[in-house]
Amino acid sequence: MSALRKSTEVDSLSLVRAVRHARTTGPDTPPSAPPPEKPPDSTPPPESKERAARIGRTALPPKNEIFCYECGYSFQATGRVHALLCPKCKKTLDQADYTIDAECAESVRTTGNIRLAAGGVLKSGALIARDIVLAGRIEGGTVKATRRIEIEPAAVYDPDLLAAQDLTVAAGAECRFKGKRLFRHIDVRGVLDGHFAASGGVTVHAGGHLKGRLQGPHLVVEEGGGLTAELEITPPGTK
Amino acid sequence: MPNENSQTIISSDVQITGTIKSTGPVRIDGKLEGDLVCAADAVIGRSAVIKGGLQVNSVVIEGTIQGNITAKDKIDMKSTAKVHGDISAKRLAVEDGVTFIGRSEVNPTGSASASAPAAAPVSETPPASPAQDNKGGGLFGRR
Ligand SMILES: [Zn+2]
Repeated sequence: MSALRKSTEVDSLSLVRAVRHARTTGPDTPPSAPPPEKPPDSTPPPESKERAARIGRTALPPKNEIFCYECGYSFQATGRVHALLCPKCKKTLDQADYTIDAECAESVRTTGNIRLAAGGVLKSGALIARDIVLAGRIEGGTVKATRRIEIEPAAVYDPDLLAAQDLTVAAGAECRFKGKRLFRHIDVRGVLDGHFAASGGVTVHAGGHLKGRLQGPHLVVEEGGGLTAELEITPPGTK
Repeated sequence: MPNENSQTIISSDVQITGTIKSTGPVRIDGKLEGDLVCAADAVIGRSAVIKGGLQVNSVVIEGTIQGNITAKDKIDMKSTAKVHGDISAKRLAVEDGVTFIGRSEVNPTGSASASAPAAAPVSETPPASPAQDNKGGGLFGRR
């Protein structure tokens, strides 16, 4: 039990991001307000400036894509709520972030994030979370990120046990997948080897290296990135 | 030897069949059916269509190339680039939007085929189906 550490409930990063967003982007237009009927060359209403300034200081909580680990349903939730209910199966979902820093043989399921820290070992059970950072060792069980999995240099794992929409290979990490794997976005800062199909974008950052085969619509290689691969990059609308 | 600043320009209304060899920089906006061998840097403009190979020091690609590209230094593919062929260079930059079908051999770090064994997979574990079962025990899910 001591292997598992529940992180603080307050999502301060989201708050900071929201405030920064509000500061930099200025006033938001009110969501889906129907455009008022007015003559084509009418001047803007005099109160609009004052109103905009007031809205500019409002930090809107971010919308989160939530994946229900009970029934598989995806939905959106705004900000953090005390009890997160799946609108489909009506079950209460855990929103906490967890850090595993010792041996763990239990399943951990959350709509938040999980970090398998450097000293953490997953012996069995299933890890299901939105974002999962792997810096520890996976000896059994399965790991499923409903959004992104990040592989750090110290991670030891069998790639067959991992499933995620997006894959990030951190700088210094080396990651080799067997067989063809499908992801949405792939971010390569370390070394990634295998046969990949990406429905979204693949980015090879400076210092990263992609090897093997890649099919997808979008590829970006930053200067300093390595690419030793067979490629089929066809943006949508071309053929 | 050409003037340092002189650049050979094949404009968009020009079509060439044959090999172009140049010691100075080249810009191609027209059509080339044949190879380009350029000891300096080349620019393949947005309207350019090349059916042939490129051997260059470095190249910026905005147009269409059907052929293999070998650059001593850098290949820079802009978002409008369409490349069908294999590429090889010391450095590479690719912008989002490119069409690229072929092989790439670019290793800026120079450690040729340094495919060290990846993150030592913990073998003995049987390959369980990739995390499909969401129905695991969830001890912490309902606190
Ligand atoms: Zn549900």
